[in-house]
Amino acid sequence: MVRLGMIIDLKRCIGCDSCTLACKAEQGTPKGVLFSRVYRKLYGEYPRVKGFFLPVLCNHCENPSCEKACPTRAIYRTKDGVVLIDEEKCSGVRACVSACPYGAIFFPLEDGYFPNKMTVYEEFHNKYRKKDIALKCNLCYHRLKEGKEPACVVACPTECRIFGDLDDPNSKPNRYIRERKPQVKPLPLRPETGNKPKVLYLP
Amino acid sequence: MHTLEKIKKDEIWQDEWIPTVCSMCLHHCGVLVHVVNGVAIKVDPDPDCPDNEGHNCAKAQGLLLKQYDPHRITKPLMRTNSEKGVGVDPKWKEITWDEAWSIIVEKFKRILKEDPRKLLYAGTDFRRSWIWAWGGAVFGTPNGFFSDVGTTCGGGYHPVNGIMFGSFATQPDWYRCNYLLQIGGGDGFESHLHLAGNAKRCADARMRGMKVVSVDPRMATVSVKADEWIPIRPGTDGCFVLSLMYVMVHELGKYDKEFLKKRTNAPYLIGADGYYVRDRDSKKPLIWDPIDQKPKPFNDKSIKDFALLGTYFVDGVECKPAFQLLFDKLKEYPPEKAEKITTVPASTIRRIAKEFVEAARIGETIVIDGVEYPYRPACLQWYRGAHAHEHSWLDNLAFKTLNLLVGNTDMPGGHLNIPLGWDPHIDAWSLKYLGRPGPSWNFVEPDEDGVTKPWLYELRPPVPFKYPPDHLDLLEYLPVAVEPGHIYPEAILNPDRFGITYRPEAALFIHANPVWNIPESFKTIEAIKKLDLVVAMDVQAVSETTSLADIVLPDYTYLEAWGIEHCETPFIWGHILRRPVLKPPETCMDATDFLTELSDRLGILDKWNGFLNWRFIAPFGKNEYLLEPNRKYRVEEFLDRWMRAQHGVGLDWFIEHKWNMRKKTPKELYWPYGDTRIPLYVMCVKQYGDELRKQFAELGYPKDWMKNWCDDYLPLPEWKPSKIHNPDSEYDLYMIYYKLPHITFSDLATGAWISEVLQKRADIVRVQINTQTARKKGLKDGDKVIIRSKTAQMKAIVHVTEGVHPDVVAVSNAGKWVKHPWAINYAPTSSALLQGGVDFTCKVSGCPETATRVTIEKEA
Ligand code: SF4
Ligand code: SF4
Repeated sequence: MVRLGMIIDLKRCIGCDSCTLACKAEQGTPKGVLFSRVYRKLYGEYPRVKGFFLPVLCNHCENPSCEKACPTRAIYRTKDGVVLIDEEKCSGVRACVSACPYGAIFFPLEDGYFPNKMTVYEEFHNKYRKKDIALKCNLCYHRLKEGKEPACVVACPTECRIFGDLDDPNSKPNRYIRERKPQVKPLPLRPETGNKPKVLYLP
Repeated sequence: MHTLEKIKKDEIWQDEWIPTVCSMCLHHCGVLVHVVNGVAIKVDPDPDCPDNEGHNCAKAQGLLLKQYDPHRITKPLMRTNSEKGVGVDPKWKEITWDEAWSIIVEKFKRILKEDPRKLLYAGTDFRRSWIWAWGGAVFGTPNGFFSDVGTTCGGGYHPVNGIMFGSFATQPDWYRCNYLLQIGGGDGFESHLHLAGNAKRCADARMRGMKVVSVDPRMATVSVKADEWIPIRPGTDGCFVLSLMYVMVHELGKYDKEFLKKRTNAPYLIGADGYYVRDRDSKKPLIWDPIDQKPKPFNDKSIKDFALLGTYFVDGVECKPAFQLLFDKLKEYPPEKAEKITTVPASTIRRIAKEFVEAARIGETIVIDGVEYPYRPACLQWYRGAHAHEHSWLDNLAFKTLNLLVGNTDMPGGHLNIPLGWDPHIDAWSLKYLGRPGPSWNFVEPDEDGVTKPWLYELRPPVPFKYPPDHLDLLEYLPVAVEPGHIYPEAILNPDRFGITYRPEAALFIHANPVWNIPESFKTIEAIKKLDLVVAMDVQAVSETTSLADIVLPDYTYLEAWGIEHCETPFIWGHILRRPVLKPPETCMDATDFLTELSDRLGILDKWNGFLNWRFIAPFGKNEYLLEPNRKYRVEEFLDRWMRAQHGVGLDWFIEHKWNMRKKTPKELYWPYGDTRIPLYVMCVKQYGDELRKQFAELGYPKDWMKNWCDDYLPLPEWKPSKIHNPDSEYDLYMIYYKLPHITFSDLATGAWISEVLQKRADIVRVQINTQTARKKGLKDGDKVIIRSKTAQMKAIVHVTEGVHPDVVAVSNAGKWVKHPWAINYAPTSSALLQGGVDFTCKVSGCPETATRVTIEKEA
């Protein structure tokens, strides 16, 4: 079975938000919606302080709580494991928003980026956008169909996002792990949720 | 489903990925812009572009919503409110181009006829290098660089690179470095050269085990990623590095003696007057051969060894090798003393010195492509934070000298010098002197003493001494400096202080924002208010500077304009094409075409074309491509001729192939100096200083500031406290400010997407203070505060963190005070808080002081 997912090597990540912005532009998401984001965390006491950057996106879980929470069954998993929303079926109940432990589902605000004026760019996407439905990262499914990698992966200047079929021993993520030989296996965020994320992190 | 999957096939009349460059910083990564039905909807990195290693940073996308920002102007605007100032509505009125031309041409023509000095020009648009010199070379004003250097530029580091190495910038050798000591810079992590390409090179280096030590007052990105963060008091980095050298030289006795002897002027004998001791007959500088026990000209074939230490007598005159002078000077910087100044513990200084010198593997060699080089995989890399202070020259010199001590300069694994661009003159020079086509490395030529000839005038010809001065940036008294545009405001507001005898009347700003990017914004505003006519060309009329203009002209955006780019590329040679991916509005005008039209209307078209010929086309000797003196060329016609002259192919070729670039060869990258020596003892700067002092003395010191002007023209590094270090109980903190990976030029600071993302990062949009400092001042995270400096006060919100030095308030470059829905007004603008003018300028390099003393209190 194909299990599409991503390894994010936190040692490489420099928190540059290239992924954040590439996602924004690729998806043409409305104001307030950031499918891909980066957090900066520091720990320790001055002057012995350490830190890291944590880029996050939808985890495309194998056991997604959003899917289970949706009363209209609008959220589904493709056979290669991408969690998608069926826009026809979504009726805007928002149960998924609170069900997702990772904050990956958004309901956009009604207004655009500029007061009283939608830009040509926003119009381009708005014209085809259904109102009042849930929005989430689709792992750039439309790009995958064209044989391209997700926009965040392609943009990332440090190449810390390694995308591919987690089940295929010869996929990029598996080859990367073989070469990198990390001390620990790639880890999901908040494993206790039982969601089984397919976005995994190398510390 | 993605929008593109929802659009019906027959609704799509255009669906193209158009190759061009991102122009949101100076480095111009190759990108593919997805244009659908006339709308640019996405930027993908060009996977083949070797310069950016196939990726982009966040700014590349930020450009998109900027393009469609409703504040875009498409017609000339004229101000109808004669009052100017912060927050004052200019009450713009649209006018026709004819109206704009008649106002501009009338005023400029009169200035041109009466006194060209009265026009101020700021056109150092990093996306159009060919227009930089229009003011000086074409209009003839000495005041052609109003917006230059500024608080975000490399400033003093550029002339230092030029004087010592004929280069413009520097890089660690990402491919071979094993130990990176990064001080006050963002290379490979968040700013400076080629963010996208170097982030990859640096990440690869870290993965193969390159150790990173970050010295910075705040937890910069490099500090977060480093193996060790060493916080330091602002402006004391030079002292820290001198103390590292103290440990290496006086405690460990480890430094690269071979390198110093053979590849630098460290063994040259220096007399009591500070000048080389010369051979009586040949006039060549002498060295001391300790085996033969006698002095010999530096290039004498019989030299058996070079003395680095000792005192000698030549013709009865006492002299010492230059290295001995450095050796003595370093005695003043034991770690215990440096600890008091820098706050870095003496034990840390000792440990880092040892780690660094050991990592440099002095004595080892490496063979690359059949050539054996010293292998020096340790590098000190620094940037603006470390040196943009009052004694920038001396700080920079300290950093350069540390690298020279371990012999890593332009060696595999070490500290590499990078030229400004693929400069036509350098290219032509290499044809002439090296006898082969294609670019040279740095612009290196030996002087008659066997040392690299200083390459000082990257942007303009040297300015001879003269009093009273013509230049409002006082270039008459700054023989080796970059253009300190930040001196203009003081010279305009206080001309008597400098003996300036005329009053500037007009300004032409092209994509320039001096109010935002030079210190002491409110003074800059007052200076601009004194002008009768301020013309600004831009794509919006909302910047801190354009909002003071009388006329704003609508330019093309970088998705609409032509260009040929190449800037400070560490590992690549060549040029890359910017092509229009969108159709510009008909009522806008490309800035280059505007200058052509303006030149024509002023009757100086021949000068403009003559300048472009001289600078870009003539160096290659292909006269068929020269511009005719009195014909108006579109920018793309000029670029075509330039490319044909330099590359032998025109724009049509570039349109098909995107770029003509190749990787530098190891021979170009490593030690491009041949037998030429690098100045460890920078005698030419001392000479310039002595000359200047003499000239002031001959005038009888008509101005008080002339007295101490030459004090820093020293050939060896030392650390001097800056004015910001004066004890001051009222202004108890230092404000430093830093550049984000999200913003290079001020235009993206009002980019909707960029601001949206930044606003989610409290550490960026708020000002950082240390937990201890917050406790002392009774401040909590998120408190609204006032930051007060001697020049201004600004509102801010505090972010309390362990990740900043307790003496410091750290401010990012996200702040803007203009009215724009995406201007982050609650983030302060650091330039406003800085102190500017000559008193806060390095008199050697022209670099402005970019830290200042502030105090911070809760907003009432
Ligand atoms: S683009 Fe890559 S390096 Fe930059 S923040 Fe995202 S994941 Fe990290
Ligand atoms: S580094 Fe970033 S801003 Fe600069 S050219 Fe590349 S993508 Fe654009």
